[in-house]
Amino acid sequence: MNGYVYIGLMLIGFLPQAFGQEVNLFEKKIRPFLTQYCVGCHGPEKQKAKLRLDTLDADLLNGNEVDMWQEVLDLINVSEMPPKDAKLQPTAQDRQAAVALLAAEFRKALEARRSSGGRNVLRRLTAYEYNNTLRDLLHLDLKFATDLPPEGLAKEGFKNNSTVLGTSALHIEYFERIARGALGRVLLAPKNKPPVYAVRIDPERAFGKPGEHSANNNKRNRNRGNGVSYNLQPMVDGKPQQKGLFRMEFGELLPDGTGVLLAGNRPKDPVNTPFADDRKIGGAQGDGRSGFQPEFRAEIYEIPHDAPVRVRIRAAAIPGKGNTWPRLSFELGSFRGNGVSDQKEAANVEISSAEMETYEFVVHGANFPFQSNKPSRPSYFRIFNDFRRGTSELTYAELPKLAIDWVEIESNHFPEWPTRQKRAILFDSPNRKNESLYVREVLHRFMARAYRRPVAKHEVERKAVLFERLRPTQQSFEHSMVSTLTAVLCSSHFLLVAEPATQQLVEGEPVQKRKLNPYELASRLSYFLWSSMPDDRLFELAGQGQLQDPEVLTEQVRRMLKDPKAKGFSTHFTSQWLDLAGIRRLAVNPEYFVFQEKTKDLFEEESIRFLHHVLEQNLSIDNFIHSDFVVLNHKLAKHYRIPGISGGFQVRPLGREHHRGGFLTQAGMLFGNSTGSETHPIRRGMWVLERMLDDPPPPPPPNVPDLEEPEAQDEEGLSLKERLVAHTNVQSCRDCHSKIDPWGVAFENYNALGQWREDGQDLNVKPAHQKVLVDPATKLRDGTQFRQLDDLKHYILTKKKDQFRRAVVRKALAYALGRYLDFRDRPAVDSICNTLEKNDDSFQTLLEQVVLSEPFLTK
Amino acid sequence: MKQKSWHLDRRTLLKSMGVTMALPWLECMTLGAEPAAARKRFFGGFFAYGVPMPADDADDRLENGWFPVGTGKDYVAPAMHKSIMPMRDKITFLSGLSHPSMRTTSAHKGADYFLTGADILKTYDKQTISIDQHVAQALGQDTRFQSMILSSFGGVNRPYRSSTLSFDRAGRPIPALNNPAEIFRRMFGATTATERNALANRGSIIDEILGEAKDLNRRLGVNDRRKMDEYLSSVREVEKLTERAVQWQGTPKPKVDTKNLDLNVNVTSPKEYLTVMYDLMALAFQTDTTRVATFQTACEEGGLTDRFPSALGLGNSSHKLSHEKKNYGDVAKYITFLNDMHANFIQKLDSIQEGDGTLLDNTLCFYGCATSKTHRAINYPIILSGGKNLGFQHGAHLNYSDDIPLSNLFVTIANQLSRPTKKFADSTADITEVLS
Repeated sequence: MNGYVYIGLMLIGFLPQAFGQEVNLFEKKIRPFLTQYCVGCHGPEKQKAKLRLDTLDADLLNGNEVDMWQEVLDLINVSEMPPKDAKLQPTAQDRQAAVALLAAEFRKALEARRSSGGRNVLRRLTAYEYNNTLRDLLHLDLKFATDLPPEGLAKEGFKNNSTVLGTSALHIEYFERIARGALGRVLLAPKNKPPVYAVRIDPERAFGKPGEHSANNNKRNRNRGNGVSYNLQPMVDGKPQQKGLFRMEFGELLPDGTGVLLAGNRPKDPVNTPFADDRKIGGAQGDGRSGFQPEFRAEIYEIPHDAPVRVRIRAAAIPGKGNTWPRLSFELGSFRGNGVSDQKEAANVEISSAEMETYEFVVHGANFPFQSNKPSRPSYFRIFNDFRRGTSELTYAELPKLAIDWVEIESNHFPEWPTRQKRAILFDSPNRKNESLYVREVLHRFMARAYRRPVAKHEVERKAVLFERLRPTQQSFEHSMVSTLTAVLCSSHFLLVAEPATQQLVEGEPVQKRKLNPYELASRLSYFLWSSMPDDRLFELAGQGQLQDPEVLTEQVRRMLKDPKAKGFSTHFTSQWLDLAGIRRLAVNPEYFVFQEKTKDLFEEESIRFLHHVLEQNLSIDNFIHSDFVVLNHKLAKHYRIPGISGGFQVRPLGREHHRGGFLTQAGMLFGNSTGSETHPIRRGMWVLERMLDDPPPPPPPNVPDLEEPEAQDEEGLSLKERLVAHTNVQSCRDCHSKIDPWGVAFENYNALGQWREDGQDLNVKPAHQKVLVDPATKLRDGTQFRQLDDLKHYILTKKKDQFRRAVVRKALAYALGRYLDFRDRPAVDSICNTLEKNDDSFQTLLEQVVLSEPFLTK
Repeated sequence: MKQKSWHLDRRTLLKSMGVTMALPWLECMTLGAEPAAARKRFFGGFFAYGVPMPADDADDRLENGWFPVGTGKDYVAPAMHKSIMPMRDKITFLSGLSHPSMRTTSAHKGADYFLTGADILKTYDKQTISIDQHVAQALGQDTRFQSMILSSFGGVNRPYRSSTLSFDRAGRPIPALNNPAEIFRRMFGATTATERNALANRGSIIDEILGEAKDLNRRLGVNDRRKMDEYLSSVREVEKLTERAVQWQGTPKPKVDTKNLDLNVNVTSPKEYLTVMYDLMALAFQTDTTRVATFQTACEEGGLTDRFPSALGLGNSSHKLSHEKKNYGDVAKYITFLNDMHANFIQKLDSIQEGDGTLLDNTLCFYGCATSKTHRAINYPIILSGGKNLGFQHGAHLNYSDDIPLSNLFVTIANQLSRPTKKFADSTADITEVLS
C-alpha cells in the first residue's frame, strides 16, 4: 500500500509536509475502510472476483493496477461495493471521505504523469502563432495558415501546450508550401508596378443630376423601394474597363445635392418595437446585412482581387440625439449566383467629426471573398452606417447620419515599388553589387528576426552556401533567395520555441534549471501577450541586456498590452479558457428559436471584448464573475432584451434588474453549454467547476452512461430540477452529480441562448415551447442555498474567492508557459495569488506577476 | 507544315489524351509494367460509438440491431444493412473480435487503437503502427501517394480522442485531411511552375534543415529532444516523399472531371460531405493515385461530427444516441445512414471495371467500430468486403468467441496484401475462414 500514497515522494525524493499529512489521512481513513469493509471478501482468505485488495499494487503512477484501482474507486463511489447484502455497510459520510481521498490521489497521479517536471518543453508554434509570426516577419497581413491541420486541445483547453503540438510530415509539407508562397509573393513581384485599377463613386449621381443620365428607370429598379442606381466607369491607366453598377437603397440626397446621407435604419422602420426582428427588404440572400438598412454598393468586374485595396471615403458625421455619432462600415464581397452573396466586413469605425474629412483604409483583397466565382458575376464594395437604432427609440430624424461626398476604390494599391515588404528583405546596401557579400547581409538580417535572436556567423554561412548551391539552377537572384529563405522558415529555429542550452549536453545528465537568456524571454513575452514574434523594441532591450530587469519587464508588459497586437492575447486566451469553440459546436434548434447564424460571431466577440476591457482598464478579476457593466452592441442588446442600446460595441453600466454582468451571464458560456434548444445544467455546472474554480469533477465511471440530456418540458409538468432530481435518485449517479448539478441549476433563468426567462413563460422561444417551469433555487452539498444566479456569484466572490483567484492565475500561467502545471509550480502560484490579493485583484497585475514569476523566467 | 493526324508524335498524342481521357481508360496509364489486375489495395473505415444491440428475443432485433441473426451462409441481416445486401456474396460480417489489451478501457478511445491493436490502456507510449501503414509499406511503392488518410474531424486531435486512424512506425499519429477541395488539389490539381521549382530545390533545403538541426539537438535535454525527434523524423519523411514526388514529376496527374463532385461541402451537411469524401477515395483508387486509404467518419469527441444525427433530423448527438438502451429506433436510423454511405462506396468500387473483374475485387475493405453495445470495447461490429483477387471469400457471418484478438485478422490481411507478417500487435494466430 505504501507506494500508493508516495506519488509525490518518488518524484522529488523527499516528503513534504503536506504529503506526510496525507499519509496519515490514508492510514486513518482509507486503510481502515478497506480493512473493515473490503478485505473480508478481497483479502488473504477470500478473493472474490479474483481480486485481492491488501496486495494490490497501489502505485498509481507507475504501478500495473491503476485501472483496477479506478474500478475499486468507482464501485465504492457508486455504492455497488460493499454489496447490498453485506452485513457491514459504511455510513454515507465514511464512504464519501474514502472516495474523496482516493479521487484526489488519482488527480495527483494524473498531474504527475503528464508533468514535464515543472519545466518548459520545446514546442512548435501553434497554427495561429505561426500565422501571426509570418505576418510580423514579412509585414504582410494575410491568412497563411488555413491549410494546416487543425490543432488539438490539451485537457485544460489550451492549444499551445507542448504535449498536443505534434509535428508531422504533413505539417512540414505545408510549412514549406506556405513559406514559399509568401516569399514568392513578396520577392518575385514583377519589375514594373502593376497598373492601378480605380473607380470613383459620386453617390448623388444616382439621383440624376440635371443633364446627367440616371439608370433609374430601368427594369431592375422597379418595385425596389428607394433603390436608385447609375453606371460606374472604372479606369486602369486612363483606359476605361468593363462598366460597373452603383446601387443605393434607402439613402437620401443631401439638400445641396453634393452627396448622400446614410442612416442606420430605413425611414419607415417602426420605432416602437425595440425587440422585434428586423424585417428584410430586397437585397441579396445569405448572411449579409444587405436589405436591413440604408446602404450603397459598387458592383464591379475583374478588379484585381489578390492585391492591396485602398478605400478613401470623403464623409462627415451628422450627430444624432443624445450626442450619438454614425459608424462607417464597409464590406468587400462578391455574388455567388442564385442571389447568394458572400462578404466580410473590412472596417467599422465611429465618425465623430462634423466636418467633411477623407478617411483612408488599406486592406488586402485576398483576406475577403472578393473574387467572384464567374466572370459574369461582380465583386462588390458595400457601405453602411452601422449605427443602428437597436433597442433605443430614436426616430429616423434623431439617428446620427453619415454624409458621404465621394468614395474611391483603388486596387493594386502599392504606394512604393518595389514594395516595402520586398525592400525590407532586399534592402539597399553599399554591397549590393557584390552578390556574395550581399547575400550574407540579407540572410543575417532576415534570420535574426526569423530565429528571434542574434545568429552566429556559421549559421548564416550555412544558408549562404545553400544559396550558392541553388543559384546556378535558378532563373534569378530573387528565385534563389525565395528557396533559401524557405529553408529558414522551415528551420527548427523558426518553427520551434526551443530554449536550448548554450553548451553541448552530456548524454543522460539532467539539465540544470537556468534563467532564460534575454532573447528567449522576449519570445516568451511576445507569444504570451501577442501570439506572435517580438518587435524591434523587445529585440533592442534584449540586446542591451535590460529585459530581465523586473522594472523594465513590467514596463514592457504594460506597453505590450497597449499595443493592438494584445488582441492576440484577449482572443486566444479567452476563447481557449472559456471554450468559446462550444458556440460553433452547437446548432441552434430552429423549432425553438428564430436565430441568425451570424449572431454567433457576436457571442464570441462579447466575451473577448469583455476580457479585453477588464485588461485595458486594469479592473479586478472579480468582474469575470460579476460586473456592473456589459460590453455589447445594438444587436446583442436586442438578443438580451436590454432597452435603450443603439450603435456599435460599447461598454455600458447596467442595473441589476437586467441580470447581466460577467462571463457567467454571457451567451458564449450559456449557449455553448446548452443543447441548442434547452438548458443543460450539468454542462453549465461542469463549466463553472472546470473553468472558474479549476476543480474539475472526476470523469464518469466507465459503463455508467452520461446523464441523459434533459428532455423537453414534459406533459406531467415536472420542472427541470425535479427531473434532474429524479435522475440523481439513481444511487450510482447521485454522489458525483450532487457536486456538479447545483452549480448549473442556478443558471435556470437563462434559456439555451442565454436570454432571461422567469417562471411560467419564455417569450424568446417559439410559441410551442414557451411554457416553462423555471426554478433556479438549489443547494450545494455543503448546505449553501442559492435562490438564483446572483447568490452563486456572491458565493464565489466571498466564500470561494481564493479558489477562484487561484484558478484564474493557474489558467493564465499554464497559457503563458504552454505546458501543464504541477506541484512544483505551487510556490509561484501562491506568490502570484498573494500579490494579487494585495493589489485589488487587478487583471493586468495578474499578467505582470505571471511574467515576473519564477517558472516564466526560467527553463 | 501540313501534317496528317496520324503523323503526330507519340508525346503529343499522350498529352492530348491526358486532357480528354475518360476515367475508365486510366488503367492504361500506370507507371510500372504491372497490369491493373495485379494491384492490391486496402481501405480501413471507422464509425464512432458502437451499434444498437436489442436482445436476441426482442421484437425489434431485425429492425434495429446491427449483428446478423444466425451464422454461416444462412444468416439473416437486419434492416440497417439493406443497402449493402445486394452484394451479399462480396461481404462478410464478423462478430466477437476485439483487441485484448483494450477490452477494459473506458469509452471514446476507439479510433486510437482500432487499426493498431496496441496496448495503450495506461500509457500512450506503447502506441504502435496501424495496419494500413503496415501494408502501405508493401502496397504504397508504385503510386503517387503511399497512403491517403482522411477523417471528418481532420488533424490528430489529442491522445485518447484521436481524429486519425493511422499511426506511423513510431506509433505517432498521422494527421488526417478533411477538406475535400484540398484533398482534390493534392491528388489531381495541376502542378504549377512554382511547385516544380520547389520540388527541384526541396532536397537541398531538407539537407540543410537536417544538418542545421544536429547542432541544436546536441543542446537539448531529454524532454526537448523527444519533441525535436518528432520534428526531425517528419522532415526525413518529407525527404522520402520528395524522392517519390521527383519520380512522379514526369507523370501528369490524372485529369478528373469535377462536375459531379461538390468540393465545397463541409461537415454541417453530413450526407453531402461523406459522399464526396468516399467519392474522393474511390477516385484515388481508380486513378491509382494511392492503394491505401483510411477514413474516420467521426471523432469520439464533441464537435460538429458528433452533431451528424441532428443535421439529419434525428435531433441528438451521436454520442447520446449511442447510450439509448430501449428505443433503438433513432440510433438504428443513424447507423443505417452511415451504412448506406459505406455501401455506396463499396458498390461504386464494384461498378468500376478493372482487368477481368472490378476494382473491389482488388481492394480489401475493412469497416467497423471499436465498441459494440454502449461503449463496450468487445465484440466489434465489422464488415469485411472485396478482395476476391487477393484471396478473400465472402458470403457469411462469422462469429468468434470473445477471446480472439482482432489482430489475428490483421495478420491474415497483411499476408494477403504482400506484406508477410507472423505477428501483428498481440495476435496469436491468423484467421483463415475469410480466405477462399
